[in-house]
Amino acid sequence: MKKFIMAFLVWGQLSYALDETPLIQCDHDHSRPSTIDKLLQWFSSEDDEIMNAPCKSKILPTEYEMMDFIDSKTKGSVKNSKIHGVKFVKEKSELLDAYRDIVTAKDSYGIAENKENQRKLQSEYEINPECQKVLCSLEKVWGREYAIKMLYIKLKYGFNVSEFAFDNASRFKLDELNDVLLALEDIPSHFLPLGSGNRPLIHFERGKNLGTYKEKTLANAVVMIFDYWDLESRPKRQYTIFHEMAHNISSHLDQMDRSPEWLDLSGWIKKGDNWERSGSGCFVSDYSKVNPWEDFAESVSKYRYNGKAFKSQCPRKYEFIKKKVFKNIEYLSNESCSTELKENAKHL
Amino acid sequence: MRCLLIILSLILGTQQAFASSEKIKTLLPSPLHSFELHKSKISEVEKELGPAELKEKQAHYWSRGGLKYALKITFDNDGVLKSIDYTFTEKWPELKKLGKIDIKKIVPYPLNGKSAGRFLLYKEKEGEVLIDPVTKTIQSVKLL
Repeated sequence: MKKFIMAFLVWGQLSYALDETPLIQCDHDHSRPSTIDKLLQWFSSEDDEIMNAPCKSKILPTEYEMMDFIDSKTKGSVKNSKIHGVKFVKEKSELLDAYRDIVTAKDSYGIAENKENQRKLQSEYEINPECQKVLCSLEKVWGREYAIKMLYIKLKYGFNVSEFAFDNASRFKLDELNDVLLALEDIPSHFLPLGSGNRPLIHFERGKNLGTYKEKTLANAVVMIFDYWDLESRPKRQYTIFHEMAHNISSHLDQMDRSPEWLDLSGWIKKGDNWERSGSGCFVSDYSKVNPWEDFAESVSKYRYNGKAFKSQCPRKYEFIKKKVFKNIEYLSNESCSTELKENAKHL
Repeated sequence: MRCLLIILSLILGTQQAFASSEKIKTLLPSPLHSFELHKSKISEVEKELGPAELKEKQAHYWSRGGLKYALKITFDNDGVLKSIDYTFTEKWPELKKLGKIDIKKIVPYPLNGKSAGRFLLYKEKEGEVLIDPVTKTIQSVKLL
């Protein structure tokens, strides 16, 4: 009988440790070893780890820096143009292209144009004759700070944050846009512009969610951000954006999250709609155990925000991400990342 | 005349359904084209693909291009083909291969998580296509 009770207790402890469902963190539960606490987090990094990560962007670029960047990217020819009723005179062609993307209505995924939803900004905001330049026109609609950040994000990162460009989009609040921008600034420069081709990065219509999602869904890789994201801490909001960017990085790298090498690292096997793990793969968070692409996005995020722990916890995966994704830039200390980051930034 | 119209609409309706079904089916790699849902038998499938590498009840699995198990085929109790689920392993076909798509038939691919992953689902009556919106490519095709 004693043996039976002992076996039952041992089994109970093991099944607790191996449980794959997210555990509710309980600060006063001292019975769980701290290492298991760390291993069973839903996301790979905690708020303090994110904010203290080496080379983490904590300060937003200044207006001067953003304008400087915009100028550097718009050195092509100038021309007159008319876009959805707004006339432009002697404007740079790159800015006209950006403006067209920002104000042309498309479906939520940015696949097809949606003429029914096309806004008539000239009649709504009386842009001409006062404004005949792109930045001035954007300022009329969004205000100067928002307009510059919107244009900077479009030209530097290739993402379109305009709520007029995609169905079911709401305008970001300024503090939300700042978190988006800070997260984007953490992307290694060799991937920029990551979202080339007018990719959406929108706050989904407030008060609404996509039917098939759970109410607590924060975001997706399309990229759509949902109300629940607004309630997260600022580090976690930035982490979420970076996580979605990591999905985009995978697509950028020829679907790296589905490469045989990546699948082998964790022993991923596909069975119809389900992904199963075989063997003894090392995972950085509970969320990374869902499927290979969440595994990839979480690993890239862990590498960026919690590199030291990742290196000691999953050395093989760490090396893979280091070589294949980050071109050997490491985020173990400010010294290890700052030199290479600066060097890379020169090539932007 | 009325009878003629009914016959005509039936023919056209069938053709439309066929075209829609074919639209998704043609995305599958050629060895799978010859199979017909609710007609082909296990023996015919195995003759073409060889024996399944894994069998779990009515689901049979084959690996493709190093991906375990990129191809899942299910059969009903009589051993007749019920569904095909194929995941592309190397170059993913471009979304435009689907032809003109109805944007209303695209839905997000749900996940049980806080983030919702990177794929969208294109749903037709005859099957589903998993889309990567970033690269505008097709990841997998399911014929139902």
